[in-house]
Amino acid sequence: MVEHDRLQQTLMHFFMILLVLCCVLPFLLMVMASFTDEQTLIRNGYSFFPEKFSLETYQYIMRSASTIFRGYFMTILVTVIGTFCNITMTVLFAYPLSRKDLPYRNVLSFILFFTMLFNGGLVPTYMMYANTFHIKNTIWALLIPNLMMNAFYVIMMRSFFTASIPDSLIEAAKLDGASEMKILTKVILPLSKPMLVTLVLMVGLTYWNDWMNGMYYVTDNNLNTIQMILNNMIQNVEFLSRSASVLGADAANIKLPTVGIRMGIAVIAVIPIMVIYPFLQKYFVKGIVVGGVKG
Amino acid sequence: MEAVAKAKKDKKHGGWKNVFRHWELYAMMLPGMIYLIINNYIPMAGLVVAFKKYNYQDGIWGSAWTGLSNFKFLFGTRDAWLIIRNTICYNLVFIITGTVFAIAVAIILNEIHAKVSKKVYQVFILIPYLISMVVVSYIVYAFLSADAGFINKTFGTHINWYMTAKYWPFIFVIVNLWKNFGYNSIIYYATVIGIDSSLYEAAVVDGASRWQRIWHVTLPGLRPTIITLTLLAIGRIFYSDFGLFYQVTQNSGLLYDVSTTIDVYVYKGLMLLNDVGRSAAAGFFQSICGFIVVLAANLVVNKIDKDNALF
Amino acid sequence: MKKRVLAAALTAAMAAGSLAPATVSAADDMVTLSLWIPTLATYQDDAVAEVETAANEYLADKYGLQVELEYVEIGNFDQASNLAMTTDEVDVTCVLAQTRMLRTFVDNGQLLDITDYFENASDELKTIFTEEEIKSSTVDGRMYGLARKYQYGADARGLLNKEMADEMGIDAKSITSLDQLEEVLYEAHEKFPDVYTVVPQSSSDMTWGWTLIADKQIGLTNYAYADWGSTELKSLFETEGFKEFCSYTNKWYNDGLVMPDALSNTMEGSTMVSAGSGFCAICHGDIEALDALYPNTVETGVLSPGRAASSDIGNLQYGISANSAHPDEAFTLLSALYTDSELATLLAYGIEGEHYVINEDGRADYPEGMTAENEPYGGFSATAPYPNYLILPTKESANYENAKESVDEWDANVETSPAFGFQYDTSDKTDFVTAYANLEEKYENALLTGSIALDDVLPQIQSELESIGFYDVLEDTQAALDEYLASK
Repeated sequence: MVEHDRLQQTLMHFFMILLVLCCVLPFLLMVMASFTDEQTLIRNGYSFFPEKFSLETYQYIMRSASTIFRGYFMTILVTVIGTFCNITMTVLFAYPLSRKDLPYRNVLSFILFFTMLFNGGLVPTYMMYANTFHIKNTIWALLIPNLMMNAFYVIMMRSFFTASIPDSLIEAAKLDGASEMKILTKVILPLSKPMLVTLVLMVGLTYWNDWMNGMYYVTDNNLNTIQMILNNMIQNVEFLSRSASVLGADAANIKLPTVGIRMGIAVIAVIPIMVIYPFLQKYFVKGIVVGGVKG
Repeated sequence: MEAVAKAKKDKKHGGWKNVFRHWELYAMMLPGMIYLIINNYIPMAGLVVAFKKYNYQDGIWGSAWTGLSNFKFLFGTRDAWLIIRNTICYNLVFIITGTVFAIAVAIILNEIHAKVSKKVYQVFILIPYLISMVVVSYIVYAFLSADAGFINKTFGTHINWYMTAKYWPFIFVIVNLWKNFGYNSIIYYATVIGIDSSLYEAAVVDGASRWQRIWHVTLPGLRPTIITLTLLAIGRIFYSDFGLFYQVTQNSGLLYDVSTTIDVYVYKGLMLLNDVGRSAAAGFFQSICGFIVVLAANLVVNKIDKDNALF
Repeated sequence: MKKRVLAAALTAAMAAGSLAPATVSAADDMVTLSLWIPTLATYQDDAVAEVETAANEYLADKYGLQVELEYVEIGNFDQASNLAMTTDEVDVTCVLAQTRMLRTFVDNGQLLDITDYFENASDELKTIFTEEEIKSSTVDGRMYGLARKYQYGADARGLLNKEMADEMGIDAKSITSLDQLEEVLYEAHEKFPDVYTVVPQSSSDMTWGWTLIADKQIGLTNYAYADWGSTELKSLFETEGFKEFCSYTNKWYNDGLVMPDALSNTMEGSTMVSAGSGFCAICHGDIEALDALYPNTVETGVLSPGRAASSDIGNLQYGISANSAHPDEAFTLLSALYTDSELATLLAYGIEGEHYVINEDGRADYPEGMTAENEPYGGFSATAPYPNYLILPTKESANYENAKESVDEWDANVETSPAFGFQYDTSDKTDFVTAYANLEEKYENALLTGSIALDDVLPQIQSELESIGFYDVLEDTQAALDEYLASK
């Protein structure tokens, strides 16, 4: 029996290690590319064992340190504020929806779900945010559009509440005369840690990776996040490859970020998450339930 | 018990009293509601652009109506059939492979005893999700480059990958899986570890092997999650990952037939013509079709397993 | 808990207020215009702010205006400016008519009709533009922009790696035809088998210069081509020039001269040639010398004479957004950009002494110790996007004495497309235009890089063209072209 189990464990470990290698090796390739001398990179392509090392990429990053650090700062700021606001709004919206005694609950659920399917489109959204709310080139542009609350996460949270929080607890609290807010904060939230942590991770990742809001609403470079910086570089490169004849000789004068630099920035965009994730993992103690009881 | 009975009574006695009684709950929903209205519903009015010839000066409301002409390019042309077929087929395969793989990984992670290994694996399999698709396209190029690519060099093959269309459906599935399985497995894993351990204990007592435990306890425990996530994915079946189909192929023309989805097609059109009405029409089409499909799927789920339907 | 939430909300609201952009206006009664320029190089924020302040001082005195400089990275410029033009955020803007034709912008109602403004403008402004440039800004008889001043079109030249060329002992400048180039290429391939002999110039575009291939975008459509000098319209794939060029590259590809992954290449050809991982890239050239710009390279002679297709003139325009709230002032600013050399120099080069210096010979150069890498005001490194570089001081690195003279000379000798000025309205054929664009994209680069042979796919291409109605549309276009030429 134990032997059998040992074999199974070994197989499973083997499988996981294989998967991990598949995930890590390409990343390593990226890292090595950022340490490769530019000419070697052009000549020999990507390799795990570059012929010629070079710290040029990271020197470039240090030279533009102020931009990069500012980018980091903005990314972290946006992620923290955004995640906090998002989770707050999600919880506040999901909890009432999870209460079976709430009148018109199904209507409200549908209103929520409908937004997952239909989207007004870029231009109307842009016009509203830019014209009516004037969020262009402010930090709100990075926080609000399409990111502040997401029906998907609300549904997940709602299902969790429905499935994991017994009605009796809420009844008992109400009998004790607690207000809804108190019930939410003193009873529900402490029991929802795993779900909250999962959401923090997912929402956080969404904010961390986002560059689209920046592309549409921000022209002020001070507000650039790391992903926006990377995206700008890549867009510039792509533009020049399509339409460089418009710029003629000047195209030669621009020091386009090399592939190594793009890799370097991509690498540093990934590292913080890898560092933080293990700390979040310990909250995955008890699980979550998604879906489950209808409504 | 009493409270529930009271609530039922109140419902029969008319809505308003009941509504007022729950004012606190409604108040909680207010910020979210306001956000939904601002972010989603007000711009939805702009969907009319799909039926107009958008003129920048006339704006959304002043532009002229053109009926369904913005939708024409989605029907009847050879390309229309191609892009719809590509989008749906790829999504179906992605949903199936993605779900199966993520569940498998989640279950394995759960079955592994070693605590530290579990966490380490979890951290590393998330990496691909964090890499932006453009960078992924560089990595894929490093693998598939005809002369210097890892694959050709290691296996001695001389395939010109970027020029041969038939391999790409597989390449797309692999890249999509690689990028997303770590992230997708998070939800499943978090659900799995929440399954009541007493159920496992009972199974062990009954003499169940590991496989039987997985089949009879774990999978049923995951069922609500699987159904919900799959239904939600089906709702998005007309959308696609733009980066995957446009950037990973390095926009190679020879791969057109297997790599053009609705989103890629609309993007190219937008670059060419900047026709706001047309891209709005495409978005509208994707939404409506997704809506119909999800309603249908939800109906099916309702018949089989009422508790797990979305609504 | 409630108090804390409230406090947090208040702080957030105040922060929101303080983070909102402050409106720029040095004086209350002067109009502030938003000027959108795409950037190629890095612009430090404080450098831009300095320049903006200096410009506003100057503008306030001379024109009673204020300007707000919006520098947007060129990769995002199209998207960002298109969105911004839906509102009144944009006054004067660059229009990347290379990305899509000017007509498309006009059809969408994005640009203001400036015909009347232009007619009433000073002679100084009017004489800046050549007849062709004015035509390039005109759609259906009305003007919608002012062309960026630039030399017309380009010629085709090869760019060779200097080291290898020297080793082979060839005189690059004596290569003046594809056949001669071919000889050299085969020689190089033998001598340096590890190097890609031919690399695509920009990603998968075999060559920037269409001068070797065909007259393109006739009538400012995306589907009408003709052989240079002829007015018989054909599809790209059926022009003689395309057939000839592709037969060369196909031969080179099959013999292993072209990099096998030309189609999915992500690196610029000229960079690869500089680095020595490629031997030759077919570039275009004009009044600047290519080998001075790319280190370690040497230019061949001219492989095809200087030619300008319909879309090569005025491929960048500056116009006024139709939604601008101050069109009159916007036109004043717009014409100042072309005529006022002090303003133009300030905007393009930055502040004298800080961002650039004028040498004894009157040329502009980087200040001591500064290079393109650490120049805080990117305009001096990459001046191409600016409206009129002819009124700027000549740069030290320039290949010519006087920009205007060089450009005039070049323009005089360039072969302009015989169909130049002809514009064909395709706004009722958008489905066809899209279908054609997709078709062309499928085959064009693969054929140009030589990856596939034209003879193999031509029947298929022709049947696909037939199925989208190409030949009918071409017939109509030809009829319109003939009419236009007859009336000239």
